[in-house]
Order: sequence, then C-alpha cells, then structure tokens
Amino acid sequence: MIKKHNIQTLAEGIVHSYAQIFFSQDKVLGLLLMLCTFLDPVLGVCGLFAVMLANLVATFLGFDKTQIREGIFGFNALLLGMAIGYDYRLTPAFWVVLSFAILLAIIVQAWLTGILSKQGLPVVSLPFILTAYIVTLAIRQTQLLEVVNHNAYLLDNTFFNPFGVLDTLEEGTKSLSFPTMIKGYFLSLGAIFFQAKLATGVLVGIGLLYHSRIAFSLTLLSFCWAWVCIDLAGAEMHWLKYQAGANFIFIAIAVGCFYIVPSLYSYLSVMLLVPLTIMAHLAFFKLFSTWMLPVYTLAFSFITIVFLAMLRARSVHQYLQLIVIQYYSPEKTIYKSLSSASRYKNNLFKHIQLPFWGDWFVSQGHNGKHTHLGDWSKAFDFIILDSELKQYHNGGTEKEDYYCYNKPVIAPADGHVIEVVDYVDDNNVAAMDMQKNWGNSIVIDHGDNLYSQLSHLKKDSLKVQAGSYVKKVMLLHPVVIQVGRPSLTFISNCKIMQRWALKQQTIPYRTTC
Amino acid sequence: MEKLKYERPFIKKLNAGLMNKFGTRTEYTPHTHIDGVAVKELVAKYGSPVFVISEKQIRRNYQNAVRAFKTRYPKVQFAWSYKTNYINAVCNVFHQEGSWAEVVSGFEYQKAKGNGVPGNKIIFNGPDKTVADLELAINDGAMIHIDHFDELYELQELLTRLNKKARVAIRVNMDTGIYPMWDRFGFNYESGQAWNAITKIMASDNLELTGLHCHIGTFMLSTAAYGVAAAKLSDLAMNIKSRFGKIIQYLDLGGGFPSANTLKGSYLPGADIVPSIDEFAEVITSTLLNYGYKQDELPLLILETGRALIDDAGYLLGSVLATKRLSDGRRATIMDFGVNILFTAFWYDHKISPAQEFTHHTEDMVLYGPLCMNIDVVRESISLPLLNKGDQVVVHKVGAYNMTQWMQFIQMRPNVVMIDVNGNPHLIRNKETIDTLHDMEVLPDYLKKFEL
Ligand SMILES: Cc1ncc(COP(=O)(O)O)c(C=O)c1O
Repeated sequence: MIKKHNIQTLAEGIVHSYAQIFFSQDKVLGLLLMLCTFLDPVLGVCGLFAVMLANLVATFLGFDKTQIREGIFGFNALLLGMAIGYDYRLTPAFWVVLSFAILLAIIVQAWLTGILSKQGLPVVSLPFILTAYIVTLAIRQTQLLEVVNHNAYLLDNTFFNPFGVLDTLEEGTKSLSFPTMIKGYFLSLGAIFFQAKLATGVLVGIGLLYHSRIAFSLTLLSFCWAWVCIDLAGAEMHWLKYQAGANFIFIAIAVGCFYIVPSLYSYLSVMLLVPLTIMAHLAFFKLFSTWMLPVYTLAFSFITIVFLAMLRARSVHQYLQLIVIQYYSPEKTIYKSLSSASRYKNNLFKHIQLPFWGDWFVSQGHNGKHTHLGDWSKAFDFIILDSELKQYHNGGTEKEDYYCYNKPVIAPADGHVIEVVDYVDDNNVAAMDMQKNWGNSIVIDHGDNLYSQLSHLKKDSLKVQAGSYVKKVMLLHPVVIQVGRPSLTFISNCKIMQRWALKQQTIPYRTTC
Repeated sequence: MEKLKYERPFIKKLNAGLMNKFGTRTEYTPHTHIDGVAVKELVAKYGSPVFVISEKQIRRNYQNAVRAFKTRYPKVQFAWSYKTNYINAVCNVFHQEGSWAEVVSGFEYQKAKGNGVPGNKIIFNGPDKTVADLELAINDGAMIHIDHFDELYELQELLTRLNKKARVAIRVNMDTGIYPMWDRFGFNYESGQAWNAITKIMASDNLELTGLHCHIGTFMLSTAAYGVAAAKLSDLAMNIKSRFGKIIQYLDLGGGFPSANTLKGSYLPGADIVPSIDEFAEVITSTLLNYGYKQDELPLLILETGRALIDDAGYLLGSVLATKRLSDGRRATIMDFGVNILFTAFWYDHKISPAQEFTHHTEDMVLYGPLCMNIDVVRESISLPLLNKGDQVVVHKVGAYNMTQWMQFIQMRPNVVMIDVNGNPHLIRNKETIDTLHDMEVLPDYLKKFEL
C-alpha cells in the first residue's frame, strides 16, 4: 500500500520538476508549465512520463526525498524526455530507450553532483545534455527508432489534436503586433519546451512574471541585450529565436537572482556574461555541428558553473553575494538578505576566534604542502615555538617535550557540539596514524551552515559531549596532542550532503584574534 | 710548541671510601666565554670581581615563562619582583618584555616609577609602607596589597583624610602543606582572619577590593602547594562573589618558583630536581580553570616570579688571591669575592667553573672569600682543578638576590656588566669607590683634627 504522504511527495515532485526549469518551487508556475508542454501533446506525454519515471527511480534508488520533492531529478528528465520525444516516433521501442535514458540521466546527475557540489557548484542542465548526447549518438548507430520531422509529424496526426482551441490561440497571438525582438523572446521561451509557438511562449512568460518580477525582468533584459549584441557583432540573428535564446533566459535567472542575491551588481553581471555566453554558444555550436549534435543550453551551463566557481574562489566576497539559504524566490531572497544585513549589521561573518590561548604558529596553512590537499586544503595546523623557533625542549623524543602537548583548547565560536571523537590513542612522536589521521576531534555547528572541526586532540581529554552547547572561548579542554599538528578547520555543509562527517570538505574562513 | 703550563705539585689522599653513584664528579669544564664575550676580556676591562648579566638569557627565561602560562590560561600578567634584582637596566629588560613591577618598599616604588612604570601597573607589597608611601601609591592608583590590620586602618584613615579611593588587595597566608609556613605576612586563611579583613574592606567606602594575593614561599620544590594556594584564593574569590556580588579582578600568586641552583644539603643537583615552570603553570592554571569560574569572570592571573627568571642570567667572575694548605691538610683557595657580594652562598652550593683550560687533575678544596671573617666561606668543599694565584673562575646562577642583598663590608661592591643580545657588554652599575662612602658621611668639625 502506498502511503498518502508518499503520493503527495510524488505529486509535488512532478509539479516542482516543471517549476525547476525556471529555478522555482512555485506550484502554480509548475502546473502552468505542465499545461504548456501539453500544447504539443506528444511532447507533453513524453515529458510527464520522463518526470514520473525519474522521480520513481530516484526514490527507489534511495535518493534524498527532499531533493526528489524539489524536482532536482525531475527537471533534467523532463528536458530529456521532450528532447528525445522531439526527434523520434513514439514506438514501443521508443519508451524502452527513453526509460534507459532516464536511468542514465539519474546516474550521471548523481556523479556530477558529487564532483561539483564539493566546490559548492550546481550541475544545472549538464546531466540532461550529456545523456541526450549519448543517447542520440548511440541511436544513430541502430535502426531502433524512427526519426521524424517533428512539426510535420504533428500535422500528420491531426486526430491527435484534442485542443481545437490551439490553432485559434496561435492565430490570435500572432495577430498581436510585437516588435521582432520581443517576439523572439517569447519564441525562445516556447523553444525551451521544444515548441515553436508564440502562444506557448506568451503563456510561459505570464507564468514567469507571476512567479517573479525580478526573474522575468532579468530574462527579458538579458535576451534583448543578447539580441543587440548579436546584431552589433553582425552574426546571424534567426537562431536566437529558437533554442539558443534559452541560454540567455537561464543565465539571467541563475546569475541574476538564483545563485546570487539580486542586486544592481547581479544585473550588471548578467549583462557582462551575455557576450561570454554568445561566444561560448558559437564555439560549442561549431564544435558539435561536426557530429550534428544540438548544443541545447550547454553555453549557459558552462558559463554559470565557471562564473560561480570564480566567485567562490575570491578571498573577499564583495559586490556579489552568493546565496547561502535558497528560498526559491528572488523576491524573498532579496528581502531576507536585506533584513538580515540590517539586523546583524556587523555579523556578515561570524567572529571566529582562534581555539587556544597564547601565541601559536601556523605550521601548515591553507593549501599546505603536506596534508592540506584537495577537500581538506582549507585547514590550519598550529604549533608552539620558543624563542629559538624550536617546538620542543628536552630533546623532543617524548610527546611531553612538545610545547603544544597538553595545552587547553577552546571553542572558536558559540555553537552545538555535534560530534566528539575521544578514543584514538595518542600518537608517539614521529609516528603517524594513517587511518584515523584526524585523531581525536570535536565538531561544532555554529549555525548558518558553518561548522568547525578541532582535531589532533589528546585522548580522553574532552570536556564536552555531543549535543552540548558551547559558548565562544569556553574551555573544551580537549588537549592538543599529535605533536605539531593540532588543527582547526571550517566546513560548510552543502545541501547535498545532509549529514556532517569527519573528513568533510573544508572552506576558507576569516578568524579574528 | 707552546710552553706547557706550570702546574704546582700536589698530594692527593687516596680515597678508598664510598663512591657516590655518580662517580667523582667535578665541575671543572672551563667556562671561557659568556654569550660570546671572553671572561679574560671582561675581567681586564671591568676588573675582578665583576657581575655579568646575560640579557639574552633574561629574555629567554621570561618568554619561556610567559609561554608556559599564556598557552594555558587566557589572562596572565607578570610583575617583576624588584627586590630580586633592581638594577634599572635589568628591570627595564623585563618592562620591555611587558612585565609590570612588584615592589616592597618606598624606594623600590620610586625606582619603578623612575623607570617609567605607570602607577596602576605597580604592585605595592610588604609590611613596611609609610604614610608618605601610601599617599603616593593612592595618588598613582597603584595596587596596594595590604599586609596587616594596622596597615588597613591606617589606609582607611588616610583615604578619609584625602577623600580618595584606593584599589587594594590583601595578602593571604595559608597552609599549603609546606613547612615552614610563611604566616608572618598577610592575613591567615584557615583562621578566618583573611575573611575578616575582606569583610572590613567590603564595608569600607573608599577601599575597592580588586584582587587577592599570596606568596607562599621561595624556592618552592612542590608544585602541589601552588594548586592548594590557587584553590584557597579561588575559594575566597567565590565567596566574595556570592556574599557581596563583587567579582575579584585578579589573583596574584606571588613568586617562589625555584631556579636551577643546588640548595645546600641537597643530594641531587638542583637542575635535576626542581620542577619546570611548565609544571607549576599546569597546576595553577588547571586549578583555576576547573574551579568553576564563569567564562567571562576568570580572574587575571598575576605572577611575581623573581629568582626563576634571573638567577641563571647572572654570573660572578672572580680571581684567585692565594692558595694555602690548612692545618688539617686540606687545600684552601682564597678568592677576591666572598659572602659580602655573594650573599646566596649561604643557601646554595654554587656551581663554580675555572675560566681557563686545565689538565685533568683535580683537588678537593675549600673556597674562601677575602673578608677577615670566619663566616666568609664560598664553598665548604669543591673539587676544582689546581688553581694558581691570578686564575679566574666563573660562579654560575647568581642573578637573583645577590645584587640587592650584597653588603659593603671590608670590600666595596664591584662593577655590574650586562651583555646585550648582540654580544656587546655594557657597564650597568659602577663599582663603588672611597667617594661613595665619603659622600654619605658627615664629619663634625671638632673631630676633624687629631694628633698621634
Ligand atoms: C611578595 C613577594 N613576591 C615575589 C617574590 C619573589 O619571589 P621569588 O624570587 O622566589 O620568585 C617575593 C620574594 O620573597 C615576595 O616576597
């Protein structure tokens, strides 16, 4: 028996998968978009089938329910279903191929997410594009599916046109007099759903406007700017009306208001990124035409990922503020960020203090040569040195000889202790524990996705237990051991990794003395 | 070939008795240089005897002590105990390192002020503070550590008269398991005398109780005693908080950490038995951290460490005046320094090294000073190479208390030299001359003439 809340989860997952196309969780927008896909009934069916199957498979495979409900898997499948449905006749073999394609898409998405989320980056529509390429190239080698010219094929099947209104609608919108540029914009919106219909575009546009004025204005602005740029560059214009235009619509939302708090600077970034996206698109177009592959929204995916990676790599996060908590609504995001900025004026950064007293030296800092590599590169190791810059007295053969041994450790900021490891034997000098190389550790959750980990502590010396609340500077009295390598690390918990684990990826963070 | 050094003949008693477990240890590795400066050069330039202080060693000692405490406790302050060595150059090395001043008399107070230590960073200890001293300290906002009830009453009277307030602490004495118990200074903890004094101070409008002080002894060999002291002071501080709602700002645990000298009668050399500053720091800070203070109410920990910071930075260079054989056959060597300037010879078996190369032959001997007094013995028995008139020796670890407790008796006080961190010697105190004496004296006219 399927429980009621499971059905609800699946239903929500379907609607959200449609809304996710525009980075939204708005159910009205989701339903409207679903309706739009059915303006081309073939594609509508393919899309819905793909979404439902993807969500079921993901649930079955044991992926996080929240992600499935948010339509994280569904939206890539939706695009995939429509893309494949656009090219081939709906034979029984078609459904088999589509089902496998969806399985592949989920696998690819899980893998890509694993790689990119560690750097705090999204996968955007890469899973769809990669899978579509594999499927398209593979099918060409077989006689399995029958290629169709989609538009002609639709006309052939007039019997499959239950909506007599459809044509009337299209005629109606066409009679309105849009400037060509605006017309191009709506055609692009429609092209996202593989439809070359102005009516679809207008409906989608209305949905988008309903969802967010910011997102709508950004997409319009971005598209028109792309139009102007292409015009100035003297490139061919017509392709922008179709799928290529989607690149500028998506990048406008992603950079303008989804991954970055909307501001004048985020609008400006979109304007700056449009020419880059054009460049990327033209390049990809040239590259993939060799194999006669469509480029879809590859340019948008690429530019978004590299731009976000660049923003994260900055040491000072000024002008453009990356979103920490995703509200799925640009308006809400901007409201929350303004109000938190005014409520916690000086608190954009948590004041983190070094976890000990007295003067210590950093023996290995961020991106250190020895062990601070890869995910664990943003950590500090601390030692105590005397006036001769030695770490020990009495010869340094015993751990007791080291100045850092048996020194108190304090909480770097307020928070909840969420993990305590207190049982690893103290290392002897020169020995290294390769298995448990974090040694005894303590992890504190400081809220707002900021965690700190203090490691290489003396066995059986921790004063606090998991679950206790510690105040900044409170004595944890775990005592530093593992000669020369007590370390402090900050960890940001990605949404994808819901649970904190030792050896989590580290992030740079500013500390005060 | 270089001419072989003349060595006088000697007779050595065949010692078939018990060997100690270290064999026949001698202390005669020659010590020819101090911080890179030749002993011969120092003696030639500044005379013999001469005290030599290593600035590098002072700074090293201070930084080690600070590190031991500051890596274990958030609020630590050292205050240089002037009586240990109050030559201005020495004091200022400590002040440059960040040390406050701890004084026990009016003139030490003046010295600290003269060196530029602000009044509110001077701790005024001791049983003898005159009304004038107190008035000065009040006006400077110094930390006055009250020693006895008479001083408490006197201070109250003075403050009422001046219509001023003073920051005070009381010195507390207590049983820390150490004998003898230094109960002559301050107010006793166990008998309730300390609490009595605290109550009186809390009731007074013009006294503000900012701290609690103790100094449980000197050359303490037990770290546990400091744990007891820290706990007893903390107990008082907690009671003050709960009874009067007053948070005590600092606990001053005094001085008393030992240097690496060997006490007279000690079987093992000092360096092998004295606990390190780290061990004292561990006991004191863990007692305080575990006592139950609220995180933001942890008191400042003040230390008045003297001896342990300066002893091994001081050397005394001297020369052999004569050697002779005593009636019982023992060899005696007479040095140009004695207990007049090496006061600590009363407590320590000072390590003494020759300042020049010698052969492997050694001789047991008694070292005498230059005074015509029987008490003037530097070492009752020491095994040293064969010394001749004019040879030099280096006495080690003499930085604490000698340059303050030295007396001008029969001989004048010698030069004091400091070798800076770059190895340059500086004269920091001139040797006394006949004028030093005459400047003080007043000869009544009628005594100016006489006939013999
Ligand atoms: C009150 C007080 N503080 C500090 C000291 C310095 O002690 P030490 O040289 O043993 O460290 C003394 C010396 O007797 C003292 O009386």
